[in-house]
Amino acid sequence: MNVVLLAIEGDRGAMTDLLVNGYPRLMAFYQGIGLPHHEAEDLAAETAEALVTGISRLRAAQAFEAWFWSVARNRLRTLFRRRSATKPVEAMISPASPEEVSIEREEHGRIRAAMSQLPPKDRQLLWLREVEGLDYDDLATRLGSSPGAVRVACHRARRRLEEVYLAAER
Amino acid sequence: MTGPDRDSEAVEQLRRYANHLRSQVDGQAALAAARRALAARPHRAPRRRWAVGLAVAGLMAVSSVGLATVADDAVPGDLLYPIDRGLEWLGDVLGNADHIDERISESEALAHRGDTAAALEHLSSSVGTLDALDPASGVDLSAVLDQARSAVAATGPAGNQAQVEDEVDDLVEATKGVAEAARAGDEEALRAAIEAMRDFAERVKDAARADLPGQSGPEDTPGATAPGRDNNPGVTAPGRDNGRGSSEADNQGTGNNQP
Repeated sequence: MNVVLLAIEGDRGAMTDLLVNGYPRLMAFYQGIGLPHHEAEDLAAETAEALVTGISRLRAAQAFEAWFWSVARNRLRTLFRRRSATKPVEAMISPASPEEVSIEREEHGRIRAAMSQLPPKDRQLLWLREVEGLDYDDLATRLGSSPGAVRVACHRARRRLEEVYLAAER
Repeated sequence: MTGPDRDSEAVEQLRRYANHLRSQVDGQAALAAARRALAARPHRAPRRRWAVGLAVAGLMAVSSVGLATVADDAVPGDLLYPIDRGLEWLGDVLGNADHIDERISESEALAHRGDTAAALEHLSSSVGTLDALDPASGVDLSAVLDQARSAVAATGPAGNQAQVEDEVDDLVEATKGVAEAARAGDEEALRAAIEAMRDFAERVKDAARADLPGQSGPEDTPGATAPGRDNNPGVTAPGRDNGRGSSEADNQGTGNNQP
């Protein structure tokens, strides 16, 4: 039996497997879009708890992946919301700091610096589409948009990333 | 212009970076995180889904046929219009009408056109009777939408309009979740979806308020102005904070289950 189905039915071992597999991806996502390590850790832990609570309501095992990311994104939004009283949303994800820009020599410095110049929403879209491979239909459902609009947004985000990435070379 | 090879290099690097970040978490750490999550939130088996059905049956029992006949022709602005909407809604819950879908799509179209105020107005008129369907949470959806509406009305001319539109989009999406959950008779999902709606309404308010100069002080903490809500969802309110994800999951599940 499928591990997702087992987890939906309350199998703790299956849920553990899903989380062991999902946790590193959550950490990568949160850090990849620009959160510092300690915040990524807090958020990944909260997301894991939300997944545990919510899995019993998942009705179709094949919906797991998209649901997983919608919970992750929801946690992120809650974090933004919690902090929106004191900071504008754009400032919540660290912009390219001088250190980041100057660590081009570091292996991933250039892509990090490029990502940090994109709006938060573009970073999330790019990550979910290009790294996690969610399809446009899933993204549209999760983002409350149409597949067409999501496709356009993804292309635009990708173009922006490529532009800033290339600009950093000069 | 960028060539195709160049195009993919950034994405390639992004994937490499992702692999790097994932590899930073070792198996032990992931296992520990999984155990903590399972210990923090008991992993439950699915619940039975009959409570909404009962609530709907009860509502149907109390709504008289005569009232339905009179209210059927009501148009917006009439006193009976909300009752008309309510009956449409009940009909929809019972699976024989798609009025609510129509209204939600209309709201969606308005939101996409950038007319957020009208979208909320429309949405508000379509979900006025949902409150009665939420047997446990006691959330006043009309009040939620009213708050969001007045917040949008107060939005400044420039600034965060895009963000407000974004949030209204989500609000519309969450309303779909409510409709799906109610249609599927899933009480728990319905409650989660309604919570998600409230969550989005709060964000609409936050986004709208962010436009107004001098109003972003500490007294502006999200949730602080919402009656009956905790200010810190996700920390003190287990079980409701992933409402959006769940409702959407239910959305999808429903879609798969119903032809």
